[in-house]
Order: sequence, then C-alpha cells, then structure tokens
Amino acid sequence: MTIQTANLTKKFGKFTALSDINLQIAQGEVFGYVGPNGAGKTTTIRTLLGILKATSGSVQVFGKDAWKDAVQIHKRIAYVPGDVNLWANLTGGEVIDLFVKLRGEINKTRRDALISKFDFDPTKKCRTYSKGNRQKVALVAAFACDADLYILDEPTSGLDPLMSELFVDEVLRVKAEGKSVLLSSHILSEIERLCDRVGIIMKGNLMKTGTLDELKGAAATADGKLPSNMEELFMRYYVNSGQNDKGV
Amino acid sequence: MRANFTNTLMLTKFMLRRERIISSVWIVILVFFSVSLVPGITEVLGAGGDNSPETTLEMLTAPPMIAMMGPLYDTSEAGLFAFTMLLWTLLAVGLMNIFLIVRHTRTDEEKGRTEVIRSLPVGRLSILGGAVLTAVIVNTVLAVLTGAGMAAAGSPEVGFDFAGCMLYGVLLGVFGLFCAALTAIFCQLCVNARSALAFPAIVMTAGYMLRAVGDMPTETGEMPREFLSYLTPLGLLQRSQVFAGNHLWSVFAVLGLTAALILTAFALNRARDMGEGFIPAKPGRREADRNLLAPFGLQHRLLTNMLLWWGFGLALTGSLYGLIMGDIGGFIENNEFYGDLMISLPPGYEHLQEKSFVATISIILMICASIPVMAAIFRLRKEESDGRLENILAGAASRKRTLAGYVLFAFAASVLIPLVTAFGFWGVAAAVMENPLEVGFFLDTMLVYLPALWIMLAVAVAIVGWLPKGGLIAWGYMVYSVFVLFLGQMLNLPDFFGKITPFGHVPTLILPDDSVNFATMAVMTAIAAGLTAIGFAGYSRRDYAPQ
Repeated sequence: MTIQTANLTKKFGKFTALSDINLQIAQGEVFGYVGPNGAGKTTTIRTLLGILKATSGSVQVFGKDAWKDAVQIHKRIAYVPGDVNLWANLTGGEVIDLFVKLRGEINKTRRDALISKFDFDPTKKCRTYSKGNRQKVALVAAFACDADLYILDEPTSGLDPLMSELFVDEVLRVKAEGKSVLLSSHILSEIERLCDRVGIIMKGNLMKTGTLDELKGAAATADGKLPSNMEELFMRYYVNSGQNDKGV
Repeated sequence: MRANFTNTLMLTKFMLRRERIISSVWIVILVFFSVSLVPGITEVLGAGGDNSPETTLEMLTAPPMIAMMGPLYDTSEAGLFAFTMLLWTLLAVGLMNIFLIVRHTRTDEEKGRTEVIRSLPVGRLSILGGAVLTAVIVNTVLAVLTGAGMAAAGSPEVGFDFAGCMLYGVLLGVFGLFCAALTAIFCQLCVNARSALAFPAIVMTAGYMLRAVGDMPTETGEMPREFLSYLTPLGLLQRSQVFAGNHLWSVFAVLGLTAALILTAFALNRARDMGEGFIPAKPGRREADRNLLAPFGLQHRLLTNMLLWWGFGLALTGSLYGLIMGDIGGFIENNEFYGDLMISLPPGYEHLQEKSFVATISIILMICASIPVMAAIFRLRKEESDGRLENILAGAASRKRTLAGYVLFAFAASVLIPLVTAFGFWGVAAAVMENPLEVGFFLDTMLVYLPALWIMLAVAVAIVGWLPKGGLIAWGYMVYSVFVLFLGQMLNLPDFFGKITPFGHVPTLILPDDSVNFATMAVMTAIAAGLTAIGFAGYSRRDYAPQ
C-alpha cells in the first residue's frame, strides 16, 4: 500500500475536521478525492504530508509513519497545493528549482521540457504571476521530480482548458510509469478520465470509496437515475450525510 | 478630480471600523503613557538618590541625555516632562502611523483586497484618501485626549498650563500625520508591504539620529550643528519649546511639509498601476543559482539583505554617536557637576564621561540589534502564516533543519551586528577625539551583550515552536526591556523589574575595576541554549498552522 490510514481522526480544538478516515491507495493507483469545500480534503492531505499531526489513528505512507518519517517519505513525494503562495522576490524559475531540489536532484531536461510545454515564463518575479501561472510553478516542480507518489490538491484550479489537458497528459505519463497519485478535484471529467478509484468525503467523514461508477450507482435516485455531474453527485451524498453520518 | 475620491468617506468609515481595536489600543497606551507621568515628574526624575535638584539637572543635561532627549528648554516640572518624554512618544506615534497607512494601502494591495475594492464604484484615489483621512482622525483623537488628559492631571503652577498641554498633544498628532504622509509616499514607491514599512521607519530613525548630532552643544553651550535639527521634523517640533515658548511656527512648518507629501503621494498613486511601484521590473533568473540551492539557500535569500541593512544601519548609528564624542570632553570641563568630579579622579578614571556615554548609547544600540535577530526567526512564522512553508515542508526538509537555518542566520547576526556597530562607533569617535578611546573598549562594551541577544533569539525560537501566534509576546518583551532600562532608573522601579530582562544583567565596563562576571554570562548563555532546545522540541511537534 502506498497510503494507508486507519481510523484517522483530526480535531482542531473541539471541531472534528476528520473522523475515522480509512483510506487505502495501492501502488500504481490513481485515486480521486472529492468532496465539497471544507469537507476535509486538504486536512487529509496535510496529515498525509505529516505537517499536521493526527489526533488519533494511524497514517502510513510507503509503510512509514507520516509524522515521524516525514522527511524520508517526502523524498519520494511530489506535491501540488491548491493555492500556491510564492515568494514575491524570487522568479518562477528559481522557485521551481528550489522545490525540485528540496525533493531530490534536478532533472534539467524534464524541467525545461515542462516549462516549454506549459508555455511558462520562468524569468518573472512571482508577485507578477496570475493564479494559473502560480499553479504552473507547482505543477512543473512536481512533474519534474521522479517521485513515487504525486499528491495533487485541486491542481488545475486557475488553469485554462488547454493547460488542464496537458496536466492530464502528465498524470497519465506517471501512471504509465507505475506511480501512485492522490488527486483531489472538483472537476468530474478529470476524475473520470484519470482515476481508478474515488473516495467522497463530507463533513470529515469518508462516505464511500470505489470506482466512479460504484459511487454514482450508490447515489442513484429511487427511479434508478444516476448523477450526471459533480453537483448532482455532491447533492445526493450531501442529503444522505445529513440523514446518516456514516456511509450511504 | 472629484471622481478620484468617490466614496472616500464610506471607505474611511470602513477603515475606522477595522481600526476600532488596534488604534484604540495604541491611543489608550500612548495617552496613558503621557498622562500617568504628569503628576510628580520631578520626584520621579530625582528619585535616583539624594541628589540636589541642581545635580539632577546637571545629570539630565549630560551629553548622552541630550543625544537621546534633545535640548532642555525649561526647568519647570512641565519643561522636564517634555524633555524626558516628548521624543520617545513622538517615535512611538510615528510607528503607529507607519503601521496604520501600510495596513490600509500596500498590505491590502499585496493581498489582492484592493482589487476587490477598486472593482466597486470607488475613485482611483479613494483608498489612499480614506487611509489619510483615517490617520487624520486617529491623530486628532490622540492629540485631543493627550492634551486634555495632561491638562487635567497637571497643575499650571508647575508649568502644565492648558495651552502647553494642548500643544504637547498637537505635537504628537502633527508628527503622527507627518509619518503617515511619509509612509503614503513609500507605499507608492515600494512594491511590497515589508519595504513600505521599513523605509519610513528608517527615515524616521535617521531623522532622530540627525537631530542628536544637531542638538549636541559645545563647551560654551552653543549648538554649531543645530541646522541639522531644523532639517528634521522631530527637531523642528522640539523647537516649539512646548511649556516654555509654545512656538507654533514649527507646527505649521511640519504641517505644510505633511500636506506637500500627501499631495505628492496622491500624484504618485495616480501615476502608477495597481500592484506596481516605480522601479521597472526586469527579467530575473531563469534558473536558481548555486546559492539558492545550497543548504539554507532560501534562508539566505530571505534574510541576508535584511540583516545586512540592519548591520549597516546600526554601524552608521554608532558612528553618528561617535561624531558627538569629540564634544564630550570639553562639555565636562564646563559642567560643574562633572567638572568637580574630574579634579579628584585617580589614574584609570580618564575618559569616564566618554565611557559612560558609550555604555549608555550601547544599551539602545544593542536592544535595537535584537530586532533583526528576532525578526529573522519570526520570518519563519511569516512563511508559515502566508502558506509558503507548506511547499518546503512537503519537500524533503525536516522541520528541525528548516528552523535551524533561520536560527543560524539569526545567530550570525547576533554576533556580527554588535561587532560592526562597535567598529562604526569607534572609527568615527577615534577620528574626532583628541585622545581617542581604544577599540577594545568599544568591542568589550558591545560584546558583553551577546548572551542577552542570544536570550532574545531563544525567546523567539521558543515562541515560534510553541505559540505560533504569540509573536507579539516577544516584541512586547523587547519594548518592556527598553522601557525598564531607560525609565526604570528614573521611575525608581524595584531592581526586580530590571532583572527579568536579559539586558538588565549586562555589566557596564566604565570603571577600572568593572569586570565581566563570566558566571552570569555562562548562565545566560545556558538559558538561551535551553530555550532554543525547547523551541526546537515544540516546533518539531506541533501542527503546521497557516493563517
């Protein structure tokens, strides 16, 4: 198992952000993580990265403890946050190199290929970048690494459709190389094309995991109509999460 | 023109609402600071011992005091009050205004909030206009409350007449507005909030230094360089001779200057694009250079410039004080109190007055040196609260190592800054003195502060490790140190208050038999090491806490 959590619970004071999350992601699997804003996706990811400490339960990445062995684990992880904050006075190129270097060795050829693929100007200072361009910094840095696990938290937010397409290419490439991917996203088409399995989280509870078809099936209406988009999928689970806190 | 200011008043109301806590706290503290010391200021000043009023006066007008407080215009209680309190309070009011303007202009612009406001039907200059108006209101309230409070607390018989008290309040308000206007200019020039805070603060400090040189009298009591004091708003406002002459011309001069600065700021604001400054952007590096990717390379990029500027600034400040030292010898011969002392001095006591000057000044310089040292540590917290640290910690960098980088730079600064300050001070002092002091004395005087600086560093590490939102505690501790070491003696506070700041344990090396107590130094260093270790333990244990 690349990622394995057992009864992962995270509380901030009295607020329970995650409750008893049991997540398994196998090697070579692309796992989609969906749920509304504030459901706990980013908290889960930060716990996996060992920058938040689980209140209870265990969190293992590559069979190691996510908190204790964070540094060892991170050498094999590439991470793209949903909202990338950058240093105003460093250029995009400098930040890319810094991020890559922090994970291991710089693969110059791949870096430069990605920069031109994403049509990105690395010579500008970060404060001048738009949201989409800041996102490119994180994407180039992540895919320029030879990681074993890619953790992507709403990685395409702010990217134009063409760039999102290039992103899908990159995920397919690492998938073909047998790498694991955790993809949190609000875009159903991305999930559909990329993910082997999907987990849906609501109010800190992992409601269901399975293939997208299984998730849709479980959310079918009484007359057998399947949800056709993310809104419908969320709505069905959201309604259910109100009635019953665990599972559908 | 009018369209440029559409909805300024509504924005001002909104800004005042955002200010309701911060500015209120500032005003309450500042007013309390002034008003509470009005009754019995002479008792306070004379409380150091059994000195006669004349002796106290002689001590107050010694060179280090004049360098810090400015000229004494009146020996009434009120006159002494203005002498002791005015400059310090002005500096605090200036800081309040620098923070206020940056908060409502550059910070909002940097965080993207300005964009949202500008998308609403508001004028191009409404935000800056609102910020200036907010500053006008805050400073007016401060001026009136201070003036009225002092008039209520003080007796006209000892000089606290109504006009003088109100003028004192007005001086605070006017200087506050001046600093607000100055900051408004830098908010147009600088592209980030950090520099927009730093530059006005540097200019204000430079003004303070300049007037110290200008105010220094020669043995005959003249001030040959007084024109320097007239060049700075601080010096100008002091020349209103509050409680003595109550001259208003200097108030009007500073107000005129302020108005000109504000108009310039509006013109600059109109001429630039949102989010930009006036320094054209040029393409930067395509790739990271070796320095950035070296161990602690990011810390180097984030901290080195800031630390170098502080080192440079403090060395320059030291050298300006050094410039004054040429006058001190002559001053003493003409000062009855010190002149009498001089006759009976045994060997080894030469330069007593110069040494005591250096010792007094080095307290300020070294407390100031703790600012960059702590700021280097708190930069890590800033990285965290801005959400950038996430990217670093998600890489193969352990928390301990990340924190260690910041501690390393802070530690280097804590050693190098006192060194360069000592050389700056000594270099100029040696050039202007007939019979110069040795460099060793300057080095010893500065370097005995190292353990104290390390404790301040360690306090910052402990706070970042355990109380990520507690930065204010560390800065409060520093301000407390300044307060206790300068006013503590005058206020005759019990020794205890001085002993709970590390700066209170630093020995003075003025007399021949003064020596460094190495046991104390070792204990202080051990405390610093312990606190640092505690900070590291907390930092590697706690949750990542972005804001």
